[in-house]
Amino acid sequence: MAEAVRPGGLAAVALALVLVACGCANLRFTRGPFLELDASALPPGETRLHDVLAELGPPDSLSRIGTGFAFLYERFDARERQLGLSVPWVEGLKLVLGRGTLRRQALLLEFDADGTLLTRRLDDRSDRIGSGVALQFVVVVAPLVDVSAFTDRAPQHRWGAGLLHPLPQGLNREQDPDTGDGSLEQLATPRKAGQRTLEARKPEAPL
Amino acid sequence: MMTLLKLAPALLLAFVFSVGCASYDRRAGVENFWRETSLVEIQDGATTRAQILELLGPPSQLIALGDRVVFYYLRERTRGRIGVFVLYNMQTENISYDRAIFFFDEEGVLVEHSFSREEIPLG
Repeated sequence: MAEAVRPGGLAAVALALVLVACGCANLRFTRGPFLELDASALPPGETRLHDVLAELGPPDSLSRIGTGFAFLYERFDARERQLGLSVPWVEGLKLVLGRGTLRRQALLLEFDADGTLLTRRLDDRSDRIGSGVALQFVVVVAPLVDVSAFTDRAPQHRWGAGLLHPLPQGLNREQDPDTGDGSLEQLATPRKAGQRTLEARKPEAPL
Repeated sequence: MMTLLKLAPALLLAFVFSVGCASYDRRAGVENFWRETSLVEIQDGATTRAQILELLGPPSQLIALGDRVVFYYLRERTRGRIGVFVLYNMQTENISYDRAIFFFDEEGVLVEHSFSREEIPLG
């Protein structure tokens, strides 16, 4: 039978942690308020485009799909907690352990050509999105988990620049999920898979 | 002089524990003029594409959905705060969008429109 941990031992560990803790951090990146949608709301076959716009407002992105069209709504809340530990005999540096979690929502709505809702699917989940270890200056606050794929500017800002893309991307413009001309893509979808591979982009640099 | 001496410990503590703070507020996209335009001016079944362009300017994105044409307007705001203390640090960043969307029929007449619930102050 395992020996019970004495309260004094726990206190000693807590005290040691307090003494070596240095530069702990809490980082948070969010997009918009989360959607609050009942399971029975917006029933397919009965809901019209007007009802969706009145209930949810404009989507984050939309695209022509077949003879109809589709809306995509996305929200996220990314958090990273960092534990900083002082490094013995090294002034001004800390050892940082970071772990990131993400809650995200994606709501896909598909309409027919007349604007009647055909399908609806809301995905709401929480995931771990990575962890990391680094040696940093004490006064530095930098994320160890890359969330730039979520915090990048919306594709609508880049729409006009599409004609200036390098040739492989330009040739793939008809299938580009950012143009609203035939496909949609969730935030942070890797560009090494799917139709983006046709754009022959350079691999993303590792952290 | 005495007051300064009394405040010295507090100032020293503040110096030790608050190394730096920052906040930022970035905006991108088109101006969200739909927030100041009177709703009477925008009417489904009456307003035309030309009138919307006159009121709001060019859209962020223009999308062809079969027979429909969509004007999609987007204003983006990123607000962040960074606090660097010796024992505890924090960073928060929130992205909000102010959007307006207009669906036109093949005649160029507005059939549906909507504004986001999130609003970004003009300017």
